[in-house]
Amino acid sequence: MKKNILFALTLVLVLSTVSCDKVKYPVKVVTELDTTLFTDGQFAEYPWPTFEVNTNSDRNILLEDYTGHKCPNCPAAATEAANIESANNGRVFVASIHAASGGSYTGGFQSVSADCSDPSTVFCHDFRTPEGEEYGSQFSSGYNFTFNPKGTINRAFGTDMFSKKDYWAGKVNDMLAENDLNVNIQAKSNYYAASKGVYLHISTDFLEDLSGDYSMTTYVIQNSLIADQDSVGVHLHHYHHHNVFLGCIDAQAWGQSIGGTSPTAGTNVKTDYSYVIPTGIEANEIHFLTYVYNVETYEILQVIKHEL
Amino acid sequence: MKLNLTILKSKLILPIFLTGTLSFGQTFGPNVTGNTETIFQYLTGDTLIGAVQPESKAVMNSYTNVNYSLKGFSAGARFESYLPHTLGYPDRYSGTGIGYKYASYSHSMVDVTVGNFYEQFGSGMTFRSYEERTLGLDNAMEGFKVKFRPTNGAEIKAVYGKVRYSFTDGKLVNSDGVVRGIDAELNFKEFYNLFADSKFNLTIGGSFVSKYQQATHPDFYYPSNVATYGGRMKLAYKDFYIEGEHVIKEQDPSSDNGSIFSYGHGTLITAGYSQKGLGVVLQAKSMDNMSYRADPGAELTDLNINFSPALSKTHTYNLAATLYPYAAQPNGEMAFQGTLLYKIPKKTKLGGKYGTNVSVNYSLALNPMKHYSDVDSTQRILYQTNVFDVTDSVFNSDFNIQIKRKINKKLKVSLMYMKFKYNNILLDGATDKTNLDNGYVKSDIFVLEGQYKISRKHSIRAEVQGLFTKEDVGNWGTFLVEYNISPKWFFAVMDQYNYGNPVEGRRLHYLIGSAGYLFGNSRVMATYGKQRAGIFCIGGVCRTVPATNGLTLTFTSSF
Repeated sequence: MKKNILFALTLVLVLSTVSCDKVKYPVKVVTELDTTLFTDGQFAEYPWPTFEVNTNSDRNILLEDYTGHKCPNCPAAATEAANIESANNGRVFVASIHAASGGSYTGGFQSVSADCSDPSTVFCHDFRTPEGEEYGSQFSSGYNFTFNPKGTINRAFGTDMFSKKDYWAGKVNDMLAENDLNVNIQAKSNYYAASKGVYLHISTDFLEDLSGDYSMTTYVIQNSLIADQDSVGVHLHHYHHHNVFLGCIDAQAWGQSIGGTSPTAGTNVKTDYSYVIPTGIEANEIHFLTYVYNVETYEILQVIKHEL
Repeated sequence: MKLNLTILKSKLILPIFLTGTLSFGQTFGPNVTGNTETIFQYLTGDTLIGAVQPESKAVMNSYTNVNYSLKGFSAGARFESYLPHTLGYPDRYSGTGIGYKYASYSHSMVDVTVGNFYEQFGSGMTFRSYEERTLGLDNAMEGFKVKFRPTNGAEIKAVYGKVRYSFTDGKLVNSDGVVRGIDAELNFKEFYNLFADSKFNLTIGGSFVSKYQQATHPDFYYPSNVATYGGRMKLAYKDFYIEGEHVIKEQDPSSDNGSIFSYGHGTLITAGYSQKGLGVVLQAKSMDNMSYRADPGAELTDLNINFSPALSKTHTYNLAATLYPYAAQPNGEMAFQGTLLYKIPKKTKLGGKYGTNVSVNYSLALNPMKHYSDVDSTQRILYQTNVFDVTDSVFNSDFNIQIKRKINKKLKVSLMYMKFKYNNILLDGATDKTNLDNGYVKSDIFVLEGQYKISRKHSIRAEVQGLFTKEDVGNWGTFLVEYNISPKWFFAVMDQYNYGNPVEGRRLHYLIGSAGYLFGNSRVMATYGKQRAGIFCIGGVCRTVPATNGLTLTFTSSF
């Protein structure tokens, strides 16, 4: 009898091990985000952020420094950019874009040595990006982008959009003084070390009735890295490059349309990105610059910096 | 229609053969048994009734079971042919091959079967594997089954395998999904003779079934393992009994339920009383979201793991059986049925010389109440239902009364009245409400049947049926006459006539004649005529049958 009961219990045990699954979140999230970067469970459990009312009243400035590691005058421009940024902490953000007018080209300031198999070879770090080349090409004519180094201040000033470093501080100061804020931006993010994945969430508020079309772009910026640099004919092997533009978070140089045509005051738009931090770079070594610009004039209405 | 019943009975016997030979072999040693059934049709087109001639003109289904048994061992196989299949079967049925094979061993405590098998737990609401060949339904399991009887009155059954889906190019096709189940039942009358000296008996049981399939869906995360489980109990005292079963199905999103993640539930209660000349049966059923298939995308009669018991009378008379038959709704229904069988004693004023049998039956199926106050769309809980929480929306109602009386030694008569209310919108998806009464077809059916024994070998039976309705396609009449020359021959002619069709050109006759000859354990029958398209149901399970016109030859034999 004991054997019989044992046999019966075995049968019950075998079947009980194959019971059933309970799906906690049955609905698949419809999103263009890379849901595999979320490593804390099913993506349905993802902690979407909520945004508070944005009380910011200041228009920030993006200083784009178009540079190159073989450009002898570029370190001085980079120093000027850094000085302006530090003088206006939290209001001015710098992106060092390694691109030339018309895009990069072989033999130019942004070029990389042909054979870098020998560790002693210099200028092997490739700072170029498809987006940077796109900007160089787009602004090669009609915007005063004639050579490196040149920079833009919120891409304003129309045909004088690009200027030498000597004019940057004046333009920045004028714009800060004017402080014409039309758009506010907030950002929140979640980072998952297991996948090196970042979910960046942007909330954009249009503060005024605007005409025209607008887009949002997010730059991925590496805080600093040490690599070769020509400085007025002197080769610097351990030059500290700052705010290096790694590309756009979604590889879209011109970003994505936001707010529709002629957005009205009070319009709020949520934008979400997923991004994998490149190999060899840690999460605390990068930050994001998100800006909204006028599609026709390219002028940046607002930019914010977000660190992980 | 009685002719069809005879065919039906022979088909229902098949599974019994597969298991019945086991005990026979145990007693008498080596034994080989079997049976065969072949249905051949030569069909022609008929544009009026919508019959289409198949490209092959002739079609044939054939089934042959061969069983061998020796002491506790038995093995067998079923050879099947679809060359090509008869109309109404899925097109995936084709070729010749073995569609069922098994080997089993049995002794007093354990039965073990490998290969194909049929089985049922309780009322079937958690698990039922069975064949209904006339419906094209066969969800035989292929795998392993064990029955274990540790002591008198106790039985444990376990099944593990895949479900038959199709028979294509002569090969059996099973589900991707695997079904595992266990059932235990304890009969206290036999269990240590606990109620041996009592008029009271108690039986309890429980079952657990789980299916596994890595099912995917573009919008939802389907569970891979889905469980159904339940308990049951039967109490009997003298001539009275009451039994009930309640089952629960866990998250099982499917095509049937619109990918909801609610739990399903089913409750079946039956109470009965019987004594000489009187029988009463009352039943109630509450069911919601209990379709349970080996593949959540399966449809129609494919890959069912469980079964929804039908609480409506299975009619045999032609018009009642074929025009508005009710199919049980596993996705949700509340159903109630009461049946009274009474024999008015013989040699009384009412009962006559031989007595008179009266049967009254009423069944009602209703739409369950769905509550939408606590829905959770993020969890895909789109409604809530409660056991026996019902609306007044009727799926189907059926009242019928039949009186049978033997007039004298030669003549028997039967009179039957049926009143149907059938929801043509909810059940058949009718969109044209022009000929419906608020979505319903309400009909009254009268049947008069007489059987006269002409001589010791010759008898004649006739039926006159009338269905009267203002809805759908109007009134119908059926006339049937059957002549039997015992024990070899029978002949029958039947005409189903839609004389009340609102469209004059659609007032069609469906005339069919048949003749059969029995020799030894074999029978051959020829049928020629028209069969209307419609829904064919057995035990609450239905399938659509196309219109046919032509010759059907049926051969059955057993050895």
